[in-house]
Amino acid sequence: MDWFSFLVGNVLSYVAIVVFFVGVPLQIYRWMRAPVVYPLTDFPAPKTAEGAFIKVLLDTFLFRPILLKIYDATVYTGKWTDLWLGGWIFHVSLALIIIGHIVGIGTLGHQFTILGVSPETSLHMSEFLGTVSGIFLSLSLIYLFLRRFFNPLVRVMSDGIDYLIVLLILGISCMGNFMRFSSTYGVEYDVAQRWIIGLFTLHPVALPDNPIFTWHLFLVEILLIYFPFSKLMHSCGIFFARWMITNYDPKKVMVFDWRSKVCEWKGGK
Amino acid sequence: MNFDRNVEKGRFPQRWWEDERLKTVQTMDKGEKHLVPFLAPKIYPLEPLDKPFDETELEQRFVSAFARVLAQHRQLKVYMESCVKCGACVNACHTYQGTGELRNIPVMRADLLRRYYKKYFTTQGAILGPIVGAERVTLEGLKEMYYYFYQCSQCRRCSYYCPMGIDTAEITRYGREILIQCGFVSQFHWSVLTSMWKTGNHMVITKPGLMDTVEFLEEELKEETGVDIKIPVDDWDAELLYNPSSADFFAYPDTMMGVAKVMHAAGIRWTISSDIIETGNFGLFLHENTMRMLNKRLIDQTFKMKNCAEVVLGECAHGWRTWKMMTKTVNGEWVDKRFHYVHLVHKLIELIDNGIIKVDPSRYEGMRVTLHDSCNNARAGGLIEEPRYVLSKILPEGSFIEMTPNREMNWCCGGGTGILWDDPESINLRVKLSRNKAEQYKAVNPDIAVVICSIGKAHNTFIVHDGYKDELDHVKIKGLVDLVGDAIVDFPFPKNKYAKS
Repeated sequence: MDWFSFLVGNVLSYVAIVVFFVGVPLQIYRWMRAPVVYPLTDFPAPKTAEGAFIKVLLDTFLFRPILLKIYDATVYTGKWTDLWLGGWIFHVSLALIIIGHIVGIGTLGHQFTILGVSPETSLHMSEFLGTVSGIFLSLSLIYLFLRRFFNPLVRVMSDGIDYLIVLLILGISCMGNFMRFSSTYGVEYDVAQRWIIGLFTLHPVALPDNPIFTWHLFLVEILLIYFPFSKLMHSCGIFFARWMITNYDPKKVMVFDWRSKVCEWKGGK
Repeated sequence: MNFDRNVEKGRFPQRWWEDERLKTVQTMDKGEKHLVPFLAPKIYPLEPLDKPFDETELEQRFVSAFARVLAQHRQLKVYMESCVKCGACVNACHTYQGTGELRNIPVMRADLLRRYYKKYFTTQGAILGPIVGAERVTLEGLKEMYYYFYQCSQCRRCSYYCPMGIDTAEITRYGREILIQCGFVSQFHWSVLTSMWKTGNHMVITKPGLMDTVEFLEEELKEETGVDIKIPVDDWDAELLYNPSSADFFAYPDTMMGVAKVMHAAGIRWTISSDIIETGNFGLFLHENTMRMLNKRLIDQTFKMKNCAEVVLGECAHGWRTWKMMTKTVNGEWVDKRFHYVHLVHKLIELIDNGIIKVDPSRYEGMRVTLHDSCNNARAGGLIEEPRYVLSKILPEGSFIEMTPNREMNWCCGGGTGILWDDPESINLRVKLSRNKAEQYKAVNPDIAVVICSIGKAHNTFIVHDGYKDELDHVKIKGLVDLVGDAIVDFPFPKNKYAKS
């Protein structure tokens, strides 16, 4: 076991977990400490909190604000229809991959036996899904990177770090894909599971002797450590921001229901 | 711009002073749990600075003001950290599309503040510096920030485009509030704020001036209708308090006369209070404490009234937003239990629907009427279908035409947040800012454009009679109540007001 593998497998992994799982709630707590002084509703707004909740979920998970604007975006500039597809595919495949890592490593790829298929089929399905979403992840990231670079307006508004984050995730996903396809550098589920169990039971085991895997893990740890301090916090901020402009709390505003008031006032005050 | 001239001479418009009246506003509100914990103690501008602050002091002032605003407003913190720079807002902003300046893209504009946020309030900015776009406060940077933050009309259109739901209007609002602490404020906005503190309206109208104007308007009404229509001032036995925009007395007297006609025809005993003849509230745009002060001032008037059960707010869009969305949280939850606070449009619906005033739609036969949804009415105040309902009652079939896009996606006219500077350079800028609106007008080619907003009336008048007068000079800008007042069957129709030029 060389020093780098030790650093990544047994030191940085703890640092990353602590920073991520403490840092993100702390950032959210920092936001929560400040009050929202008055409602910021964008009208027309759902009348009830349930309606607002559903709208926030739809807006968040379908990227509806950009999806609905595709038409008039095309009218005005003719070249802005590109964002929704790239962004949405990226986020969906990323979510699938994160879920796949947790479930796949947790059940050794047998997660689909719950649907009644045999363990081998489940393993194949798991590998197939992982491969497909991995490819989509890399492709969409390349696409987003090129868009950021070649679209003059987006390029102007980007800082160095915006490229670096895309490259970081691209590096992670490319190494993951490489391990899928390569027979020499592939990592089996049980090896990864053993390492993770060791990590969480505080009896860390050595990483498998596989430089690609070590680098893959290293970049993930960098990402996790950087996460709470970066614009990646938009994954939490989006719910706050969307809720603020969607929620319409009748207790906080002067409500005037004009149709019912018209009837009520008919007989004078 | 006003600003450039001041900067060239090394002279900044203002300095704020500790003001006793601000203290009373604060102590008055202590103990309200929904209130902001505390607000700017020293803002009230009294004297111009001889020279700008040196950079050390500027930095201190900026950072302390920024920290205070951040501690009080969750939205600002979330907006500062959540932007991913996807570029979806490029299509949203009429300011960018009109001027073509990159800094007018909402994300770039917000970045003018975000770069300082990153520098002083985040770990990554302190460590990585320029890689993440963090910058130190400099005089040049603040000038740039001032220049572009005062071009934002806070129309909130970008919040409909942003996948995160970031509302750049909030960022520019608090950005301006921070800039005030550093000695930057536009002369126009500052004079309006000062005037609000002194007289309770934007135009420095004192009570004698008001009485004189009212008398003049009454004579006009007599001439027009042949009926003695009164505009009562400070009649504390009245049952309805109407709160006009101060511009209605000078720039758009038709609106005030329309209200008088409607109230006369409905037989309502109404009044206006000389202490506050302003629905609008410039505090919303750049200074939160002023916003609360003026809001409080109108609430105070209602205590003078003996039988008053209703306060009707005049045609002002951002005033309506302030009233509807902010009164209860900045001035206490009890306010709506004591009175009805309604918009004039709601009152008109009530009067027309119940047959209290009779209108004659045939008077507007052959006119093409369109409605400009003011940003703060439609997007921020939810007043979308109500004006259309009133128009459907007073206009004949087929007279009303919609602009595209309309309702909450309507283009801002470009005058939002009182961008009504009238020096020669700013006029060129205003023409650019209103390009999208002018194109909308050209597309529908109306005879009358209904604008339920005082700033909107001022700026739309500028668009049609000044900025784009070659194509649009025949368009008349009217308030909604102007049309209702002229449609009332009790009075003759003033044909000359609608004659095609």
